[in-house]
Amino acid sequence: MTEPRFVTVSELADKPQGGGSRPLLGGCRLHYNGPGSTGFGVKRTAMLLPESAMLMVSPMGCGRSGSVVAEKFGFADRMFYLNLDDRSVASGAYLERIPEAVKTIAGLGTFKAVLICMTCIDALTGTDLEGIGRSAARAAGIRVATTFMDPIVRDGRFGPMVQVRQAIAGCFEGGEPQPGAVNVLGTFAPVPAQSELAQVLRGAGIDSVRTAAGCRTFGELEQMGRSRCNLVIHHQAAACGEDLEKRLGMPFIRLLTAFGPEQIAADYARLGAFLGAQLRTDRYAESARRALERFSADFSGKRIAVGEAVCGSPFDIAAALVSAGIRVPFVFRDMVLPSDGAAIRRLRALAPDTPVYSGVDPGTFTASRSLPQADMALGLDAGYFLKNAVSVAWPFEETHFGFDALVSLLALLRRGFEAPETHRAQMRGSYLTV
Amino acid sequence: MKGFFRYLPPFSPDYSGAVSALFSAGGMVVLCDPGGCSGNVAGYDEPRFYGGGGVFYSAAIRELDTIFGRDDKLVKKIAAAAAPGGYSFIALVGTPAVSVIGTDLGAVARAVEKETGLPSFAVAATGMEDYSAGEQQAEAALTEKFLPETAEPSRGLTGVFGAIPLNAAGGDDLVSLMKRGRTVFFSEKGAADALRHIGRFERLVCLSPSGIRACELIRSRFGIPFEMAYPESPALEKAAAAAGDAEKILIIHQQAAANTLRRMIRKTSDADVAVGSFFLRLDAAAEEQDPAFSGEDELARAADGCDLVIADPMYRRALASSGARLAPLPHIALSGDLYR
Repeated sequence: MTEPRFVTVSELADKPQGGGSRPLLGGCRLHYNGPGSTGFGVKRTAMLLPESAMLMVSPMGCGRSGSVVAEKFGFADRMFYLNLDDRSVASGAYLERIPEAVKTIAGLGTFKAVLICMTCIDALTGTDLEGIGRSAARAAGIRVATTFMDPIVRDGRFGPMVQVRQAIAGCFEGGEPQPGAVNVLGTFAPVPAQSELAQVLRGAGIDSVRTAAGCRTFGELEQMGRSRCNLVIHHQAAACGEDLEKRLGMPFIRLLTAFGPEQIAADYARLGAFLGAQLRTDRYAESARRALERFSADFSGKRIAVGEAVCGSPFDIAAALVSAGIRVPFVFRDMVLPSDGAAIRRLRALAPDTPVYSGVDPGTFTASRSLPQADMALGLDAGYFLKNAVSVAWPFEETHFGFDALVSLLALLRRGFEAPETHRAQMRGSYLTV
Repeated sequence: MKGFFRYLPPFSPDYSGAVSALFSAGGMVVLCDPGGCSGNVAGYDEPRFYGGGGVFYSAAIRELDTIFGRDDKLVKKIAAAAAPGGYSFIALVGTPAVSVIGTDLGAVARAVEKETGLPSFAVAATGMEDYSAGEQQAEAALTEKFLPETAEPSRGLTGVFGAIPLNAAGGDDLVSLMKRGRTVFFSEKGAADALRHIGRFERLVCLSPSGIRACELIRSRFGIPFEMAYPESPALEKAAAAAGDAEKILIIHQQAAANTLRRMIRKTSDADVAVGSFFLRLDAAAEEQDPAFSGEDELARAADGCDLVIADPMYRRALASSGARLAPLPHIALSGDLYR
């Protein structure tokens, strides 16, 4: 194979999407899970549950990634492992040990909750995870949440990252609603009080913007169930919004992080209507317009490839860059999501011939030298393949929304041009250690 | 409680050991997983993956594949990926997902061989054992696949099993350390051909207990002698220097590296030195006082009374109650690349 396979944005826009995600190049192929395929994993996400411990009930291999990450990011003392062996899987004996393990963790007196995480093994054998959670909670006298880390369903609507977010949201408790508080679902970081979103909402009488990451105690997390509503800013948190609407009657709105000024303005208009308030966003829009102008003046004509290891739709980011005069030599997307649809159409209007590659296709790996070259690669997955480009890692630990998302993106890219770091150095600063 | 770990993290699993043993050997390695297991290998257990020349793919198994047992689809996927050619073998490595549904990986490997014409074999890893077990299976499977019926006369080569990062102490580069004269590595490109011409070898060395099964197989058929050994390396020199005037020392690593370190320490010290390991060990290479661990309690007991433990820094929490000083001897099987 001399050329990696691709689909143009125009061809992609013409394909029927259907209701779910679909593989860019068809599903029947091996995957090359390259070193740059980074992101926030299940275990780091689980650690957003404050004052909690995580019990991995799994074969040794499944707990492995969490252990190194836990050591690196300082939460090793919150991770516990119940390692399975062949015999206990065959007999199911390990299931009886789970309540005892939870009891041991509860007995330490350090934690308010335990999140039990099971894996493909139990997903395939049909283990009643919720039932086990209930019996463990009874035995140990501690709050127990449960989740699966089962990548066999990763392409479906309820992949592991969706499920772990649901487990966290499942700890929200209902009660008297607090009209001055809203939740943001789908972040890995708090929404700072000085952020654009917090200030815009403050103007609408909302003075508390809550996130799981921003909760210091388990009690604070439970209180999130009393917020007025949920703003879902990442597609993986949509199921949480639906769950909370059903369980606690909390309304929610999907406002996936966008990067095009017009889309952002439209999203704010929808949010205003949802909240029944006039949101004042003019100064942020103006600030973004100026940032875009400056970026365009300084970098117009540069080539920036957009990888998939980013937060948001790579098509949306590409469209924003193209509209600023940047050339986007290619986009990486292996599974095309329903939420990519509008951005794909926007990008088609601007640059219909933009090739879209799958970053995990074996052909992309074996023929990576034939990928279109770029001055910069956004996302460590694209950066791995483009040896001559400046690599820019996505800062998953930050939350940006609204015009601030665009301004922050441009600042990130500017820093990349002005103070480039090697891909390897960024990998070390990322979630993977090798 | 059996299998419960409060302080110690899960070690590199058997499939990582299997992939590592085969990664640079000139074949195409397919981990039969949904994607998470290959992330462990790529992200934590196999530093050569970054920019290395090995070809390693995930089978991207999905729920429906496990329900309907679409082995034919897996064969197709592998054949398509192998189409560019240049591979001396195709290895299929098992994981928890295929293990629990009882996939016959050996049969799939035979179908792959038929479809591609490339020598193919399976390593039935389950993700439930540590890397040393997977390395052992992979080296034995590779050897079994390529050993000839008869051998040519000896020509004085030395063959090395186990020159992989997972067996290394600290930042040791085992290939560089072992490359002396006519040395051939069964973990490097050309391994298949080297095994086909096994008669050229005068002796074999395995750098960890994992290689013993393959070595015994060769010895039983061709009478080629072997030994388990680990070189006196820079990482071990540094660790030995940390021994100082300690009187009771526990070394925790894979047995071959730990034994060499013990020998180095004894050159300058009268300390009581024990070697402990959670991984495969060769009883004949163990001393009476050497413990084999399967849980945290045994580890803590072994460290009790020691004034120095030489081990990966990730053992720190499990050893805290012993009060022993910890001198770092990083091991990828615990801490990945964090401390190397």
